Parts: sequence; structure tokens; C-alpha cells
Amino acid sequence: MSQDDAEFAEFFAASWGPCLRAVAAVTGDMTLAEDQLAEAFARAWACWPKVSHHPAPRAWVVRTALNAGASAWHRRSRETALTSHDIAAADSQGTGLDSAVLTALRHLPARQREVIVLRVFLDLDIDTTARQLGIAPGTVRAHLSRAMTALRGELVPAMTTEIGR
Amino acid sequence: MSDDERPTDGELTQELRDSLSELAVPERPSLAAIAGRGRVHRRRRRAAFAGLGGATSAVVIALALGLTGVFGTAPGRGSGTVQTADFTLTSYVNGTVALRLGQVFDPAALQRALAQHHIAALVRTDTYCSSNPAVPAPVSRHVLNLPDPGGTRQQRATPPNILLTGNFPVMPSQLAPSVDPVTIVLSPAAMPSGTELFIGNYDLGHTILVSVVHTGSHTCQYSQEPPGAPWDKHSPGRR
Repeated sequence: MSQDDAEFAEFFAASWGPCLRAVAAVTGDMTLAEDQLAEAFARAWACWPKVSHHPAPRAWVVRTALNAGASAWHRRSRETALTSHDIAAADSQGTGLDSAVLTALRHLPARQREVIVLRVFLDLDIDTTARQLGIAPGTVRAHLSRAMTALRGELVPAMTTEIGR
Repeated sequence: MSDDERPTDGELTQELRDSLSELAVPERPSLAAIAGRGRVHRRRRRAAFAGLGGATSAVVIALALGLTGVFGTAPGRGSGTVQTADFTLTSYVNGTVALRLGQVFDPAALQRALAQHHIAALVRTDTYCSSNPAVPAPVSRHVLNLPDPGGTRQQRATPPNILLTGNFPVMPSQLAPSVDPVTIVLSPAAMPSGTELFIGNYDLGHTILVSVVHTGSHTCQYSQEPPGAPWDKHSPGRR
């Protein structure tokens, strides 16, 4: 096994779980997330010398997976503007994907979700998140703030309902 | 509910992370399965570039001549060189500007740097900008090289990873995912008046697209993939 192969194998073993959770949290469909992520890892394998030098390889994989999903969705809906990665959460029940917070996350606009995925799930700092998304750090902060406000707005009624039950 | 009862950002962040960590995930696929799928990507890419090599041989010859002119020339004294971790811009006395790009770059910073070199440009990520009507792109007025992963002797003799655009407008150019960094040689003086350069960076497919748009009448839209590969209808050798 070459050094590149060994490095990729190590990266794949360590990153599959965290990346799959992040993609599934956004898509709401574990099976679909699994397929999109496998595709993303295959692309990473195909250009590993490049991806391995990426400042955040896991972010590269997750974004590629989400983009692949959005692209497939886009192909199915040519007439509809591509604004989100929304996928029917057909198999979300019983997997944890139907938790209130993850359901609320999927109601956010695509960009805000991407910021949450990179900043919160993958724990990238603001500057790295900004570079990943090609936007300014201040814009990342703004998206993050709006996302948190929106999540609070969605979660508070849910929490109130749960308490009142 | 009062503000005191609302979760703070920190609590929300923790809640998100907890929810994520509670997700049960299936076992990962075998490495062999991933590598097998990856090999399909590599094969497709090589096939695409093999097709380009045959179709654009005249371009490759012109490229070799052009490179001598460009790289045998000392950097100019004007704007000089702008170098960041992601890209390097170098002005040459013959008026060309070499742009060396890594895979990830800050679009705003690159746009500012190009402006310093007197190149009006739109630089965007996951966005496609175009003009209608499109800026004319006569094939005879530009030179395009796409590096061949295998490489012929002649191609290996040239500096690697060069996309030479002697004239504008250039057609959309898809660069090999394995090519990193890439170098684009720009000729600002050849840009038609009233136009500006468009550089789109697309994570999906790891593609950089270069074209020219009318300054005052272009539209941009969110797009995760560039519209069409050069080996399709835009390929110069197939017109």
C-alpha cells in the first residue's frame, strides 16, 4: 500500500462517521446520505493528493456530498430554482434524525445550514468556514446568528409543547 | 416565554452537537468499494483529457510558442506580484498577467488583487455569471492548454498546469481536478471594451471556469457545477 493509500485509508476510517452524521443531519435521510457520502469519498480518493492538502478535508468531503445530493435533486427538478438540499426525510424516524433540533435545522435556508454544518458540526473556525464557502467571515457570523435565531424560534414552541404534555 | 428562558447560542450549539452525536450511523463501506468508485472517476477524467489532446493539438503547439513569450519575460515593474497563500498574480512586461491558483481561494481577495493589476473581474464561488448576448469568443483568437495527466514529450517540456489565454474572450475552461495549483495567463489588453473577466470556482467537480462577460449586462445565478465541459460543444477542435 502506498503512502497516499495509507493516508486515505486512515482519513476514511476516522472521518466516515462524523461526516455521515453531518450529511444525514442536513438531508434527513440516512440512506441517501450514505450514498452521497460514498460518492464524495470516492471523489476524494480519485484526487487524494489534492484533497489531502486541503485545509479541511472533512469539510471538502461533506460539501461534496451535499453538493452531489443537491445536484441530483436539481437534475430531478430542472424547472425549480436550486435553493436547498431538502430531501424527504423518509427514513428519519427511529434513527435520531427526527429530533426537534435536527428537524429545525433542515428548515433553515441552505447557506445557513452549510454554516452550521461547517462551524458547529465540523468545528471549523470562522475564517476557515468563510474560505470553504467563499464568503467573508462577517457573512459567516451573520448567517450563524440568523440560523441560531431561527433555531431558537423553532425550538422554543417545541420545547413549550413538550413541557406542557 | 421570556428571553431568560430562551436557549443561548452556546446551549443551542451544544444541543445541535448532542443531537448529531446521538445519530446511529451504519457501518462504513469497504475501502475497496470506495476505491473502485474512485477509479471510475479517474478513468472518466483521463478519457476526457485524452479526447481533448487529440482535438486540440494545434492549440498545444501554439501554447508552447506562447509560453516562451510569456515566461521568458521578466516580471514588469507595474503592479508587480501579489502573493497570498491561495494565489499569486504576477505582471509581465509584455502586458500579460499570470495567475496561479490553489484549489481554495478567497474570491473577494482575488477580485481585489486582479483590480490592482487593472483587470476588471467578477470572482465567485458556486455562481455562474453570463451575458446575453454572450461575449463573442472567436476560436482563432485564443490559445488553450489543458494539461494531459499522461503527458507527451512535447507537453512535458512546457511548464506544467498552464492554461494560456492569449486573447479574450476565453471559452469556459474546465481544469483537471488533479491539477493544483493551476496557472492562467491573462492578456488584459485583449479584453474587449465593456467587458470583464469572470472566474467561477466550483467545489463540485473541483472546477474553475474562466469566461468574459459584459460589465453592465450580465446575470449571475447560484450554480454548483459549471454549465458544460469544454470537450462538449465548446471544444475548439470540434467547431
